[in-house]
Amino acid sequence: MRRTQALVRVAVSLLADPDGRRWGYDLMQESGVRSGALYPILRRLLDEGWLSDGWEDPATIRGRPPRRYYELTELGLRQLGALLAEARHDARFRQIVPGVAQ
Amino acid sequence: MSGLLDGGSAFWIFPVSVLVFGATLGLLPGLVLRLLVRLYPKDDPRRDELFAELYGPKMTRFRRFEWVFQQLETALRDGLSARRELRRRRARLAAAQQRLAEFLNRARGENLVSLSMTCHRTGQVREITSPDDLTTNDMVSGTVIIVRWWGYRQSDHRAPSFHEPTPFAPPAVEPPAILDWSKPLP
Repeated sequence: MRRTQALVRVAVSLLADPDGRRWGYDLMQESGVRSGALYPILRRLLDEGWLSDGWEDPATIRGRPPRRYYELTELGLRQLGALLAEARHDARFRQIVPGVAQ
Repeated sequence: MSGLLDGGSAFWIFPVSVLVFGATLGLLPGLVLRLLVRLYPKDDPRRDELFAELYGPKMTRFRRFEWVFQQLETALRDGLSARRELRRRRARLAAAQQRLAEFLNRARGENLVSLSMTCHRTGQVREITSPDDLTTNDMVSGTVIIVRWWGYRQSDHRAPSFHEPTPFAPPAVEPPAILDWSKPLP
């Protein structure tokens, strides 16, 4: 998968909480990636099997429709981890990837 | 008299303004989003997802406007590409089903004893029993459909060349996939 600023930002957000359930809107706010770029990335990650998805249990919510959540798969954890490891050596992503010396 | 009339019309301005303001704030984002998600294919889960996000717990009423107008870009990029991808997958699915059906018809005439079909889709493995079990969701890049068969009653030169059948025993070596979507279709 081609490394872009948006993908690296989304990867950083996803790996910040690798076991948690993530929502599209929350990911948008955390990563700072606008929704027009985020949702195509999420679709690609789903197709690659790096993410799995599901819907909130309607019994646990009231007065609103259930939201779709995303979870990192084992494969996604490995692949996005590798992607960030590569991004650390790339000057384009210095501002984004944590733990990189300026 | 005219002053009274003016006063009367002024009396209605406030409630009407409140109604218009409330309707704009409450209904407009949902209506606009309902139009935008039509750019997605009919059964695309993103239609429901975007609605759920609009009414999600962290979305304030004032933020909804900005968010809905951002979805114009999302729907144009993601929705239209989803439509193109769906068309591509349908074409792939039709080709895969036809190829599997042809293979099964041919295999029936070969005194086949046992056959298994597996769909490996991005790490997930699923048994399939007929071409109709395949769906457009399976037709992503990287999907491999593996057909294994064994137990020919007689050696037959017409057997497919991509796997040498081993009579009455499962193949020791995994035969190559007959369909591999990581490569372009023949």
